[in-house]
Amino acid sequence: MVHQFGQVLAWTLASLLLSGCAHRLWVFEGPSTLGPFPVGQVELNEPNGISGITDPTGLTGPTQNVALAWARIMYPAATVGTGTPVSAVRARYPVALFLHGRHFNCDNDGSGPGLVGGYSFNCPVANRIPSHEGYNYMMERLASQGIFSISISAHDIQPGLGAWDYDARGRLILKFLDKLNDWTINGTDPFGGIFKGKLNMSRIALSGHSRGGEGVVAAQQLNKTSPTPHSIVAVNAIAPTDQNAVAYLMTEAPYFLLVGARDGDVANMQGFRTYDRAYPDGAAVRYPKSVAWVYGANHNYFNTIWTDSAALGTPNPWAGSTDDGGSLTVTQKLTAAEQREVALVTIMAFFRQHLQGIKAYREIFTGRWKPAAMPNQFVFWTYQDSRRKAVDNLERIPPNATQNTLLGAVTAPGFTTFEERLLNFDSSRYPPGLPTDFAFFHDTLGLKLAWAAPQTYTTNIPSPHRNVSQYRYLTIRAAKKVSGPPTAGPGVALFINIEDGAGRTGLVAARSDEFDPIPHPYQRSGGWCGSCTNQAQLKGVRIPLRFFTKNNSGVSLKDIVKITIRTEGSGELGLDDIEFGR
Amino acid sequence: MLKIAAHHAPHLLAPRQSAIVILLLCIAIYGSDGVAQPATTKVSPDVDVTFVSAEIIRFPAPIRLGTGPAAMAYEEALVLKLRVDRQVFDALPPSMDPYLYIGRREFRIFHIDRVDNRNDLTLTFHIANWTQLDDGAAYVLTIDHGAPGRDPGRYARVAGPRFNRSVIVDKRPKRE
Repeated sequence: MVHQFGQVLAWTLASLLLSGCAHRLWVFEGPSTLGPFPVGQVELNEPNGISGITDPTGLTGPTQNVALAWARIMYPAATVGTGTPVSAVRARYPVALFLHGRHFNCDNDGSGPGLVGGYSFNCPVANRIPSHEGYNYMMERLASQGIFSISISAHDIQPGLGAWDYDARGRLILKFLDKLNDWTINGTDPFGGIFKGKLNMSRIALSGHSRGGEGVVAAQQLNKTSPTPHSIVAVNAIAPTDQNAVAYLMTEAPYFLLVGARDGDVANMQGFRTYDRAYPDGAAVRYPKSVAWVYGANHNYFNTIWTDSAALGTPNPWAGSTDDGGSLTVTQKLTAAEQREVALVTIMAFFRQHLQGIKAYREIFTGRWKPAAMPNQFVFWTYQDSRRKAVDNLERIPPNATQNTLLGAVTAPGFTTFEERLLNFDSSRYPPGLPTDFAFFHDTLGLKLAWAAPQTYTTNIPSPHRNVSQYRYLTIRAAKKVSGPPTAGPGVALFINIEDGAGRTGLVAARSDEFDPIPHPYQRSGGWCGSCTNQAQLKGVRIPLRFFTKNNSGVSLKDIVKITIRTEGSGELGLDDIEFGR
Repeated sequence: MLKIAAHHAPHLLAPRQSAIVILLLCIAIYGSDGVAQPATTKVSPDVDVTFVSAEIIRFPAPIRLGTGPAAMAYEEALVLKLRVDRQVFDALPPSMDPYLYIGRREFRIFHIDRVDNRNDLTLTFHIANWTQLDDGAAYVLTIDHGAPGRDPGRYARVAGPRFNRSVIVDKRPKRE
């Protein structure tokens, strides 16, 4: 035990030394590195461990039985092994919970490797597909860093619960959290009470994949009205659905969305709608939200159980597949290992930032820190802080492109298109009848600009709003739009400047792609969603305000009167959320 | 060539495994297997439906869906039941819920009646605003969400059953 304590102490000291700042250069360990804790693990398997979700009348829940409590648990332990005591190095450990999405729940051949599976409410125990084991690669690493990790099975929900599907996933998460709470307070866990007093239930993070991604958003919203609410401090959704008839909404915690552009399953990128809806301008309470939009990443490879044997490199007996369904054709692919590395780095950074208070990991989500462990050239970031001021959120109904949110005038002479549009492919929550551009796989009102020669867009800031000195960045969301057959192409570069009341501007305009790229749409065609080509996904651009004030430009951040965006060449794009932020 | 049909593409098996798979397939054909089989190579996002029933029902208590300010509740609805081929339905991408379109109106599945020894599934939809449905509009069940709105011409001449008010049966208790 003394040895373990010394190991952790040394690790902590090393981290502190490494974190010393010199010329604003941070040197931190990568978020996904293996930590100092030995990893213990147990499997929970209680056939009737869950109650209260099923309703025989069908009025308040599904009639189908949702009772199985099946989960893999990994935790910081005194020694490696099954059911070994929890490490005594720290008093309590924060909690990370994973929930998978929909996959066959019953393996028909049972002898693997095979792809023969199906959906059944009566699957023999030996044939139950353990989708929840597909995140062990993340759980093991998290546990080694001092985070209690549990991945729960949605086995009873997988055949499809219709209107209750997502509600049941959210409620299942809360039932498991109730269970963990009881374990740590009363020592009631079925492993000899090893978790008594060991879980820090005031720091809970959720990660959900696919329908599980919608489930974690549901859980944090249902948690608000739960009689036994939990302290959920971070929510991550991986390639989530957004299909509940009443759309769930992030209201309670920072949100991180991880989506692969090669997704052959949730091909309409509906998860972006959950980001668009989260913490809008004017919301009373806001938390940071971020997106990693990953070129070459598919739907399944974030989960090893859903990965085909060839890509996994080892036989997978549980009906894994590439998910490139319906002859999806793409030109860029990440390997399954690369894709998992993206998940490891980003989700661990997100969880460790919010569960362990390692604030420096925020800079991974802003795109400023490029961790060496993942293929950064494929990862496109959007980050919007809770502290931000919209110059134009483009949310006017009826649409009016000539006036911004602050009631300042907007001009765009010479553009061939200058209009506000609903940027949406399907299932919008906006009133019907709005002019819509279906090339954008979002649900937000935004600005459409098209130009045949270089032009300048100007948005003016009225006098009460001109002091932006408390902010550090000028941020926008932008997406390149292209038409015709999918081809390779360059991204868009915008030249952005600000001007103060004395007419002073940055000495040169900031070229957007020197800070954050606005990429050409990912090349994909075919697949289940034949019209899901040239998907225009909004992408964040963050320009430090000090760029405009450097070299004695004289620009006063206390009196900014306008923002200009100049285009080059010809092109078309969508624009949203012109903001000052942190 | 890439695999087709998410999770379902055929693959090579050892002889003993092949025999097991063939046995299971045979069992499925004769209706006593209980679980879906590997999909066909069909990649259509649409699923053919067969009309089963349309009844206006008053529920014993309001059905409440969702949470927060957008939550919905209703005490009566047109309960529409449609039948689909189980193998085709289960071969769709697993995460995607097929949506039903009647004209441009979109509806989500309320309940899936999944019985292990049947080769079909019965889908139930609750349509609270049934008076607004377009008579004669085709039933379109698809994972290409929004397609009937984006591209109405695509479904203008679709074959298959169409919504018809005359088949609705009002099962609500008669008022005195």
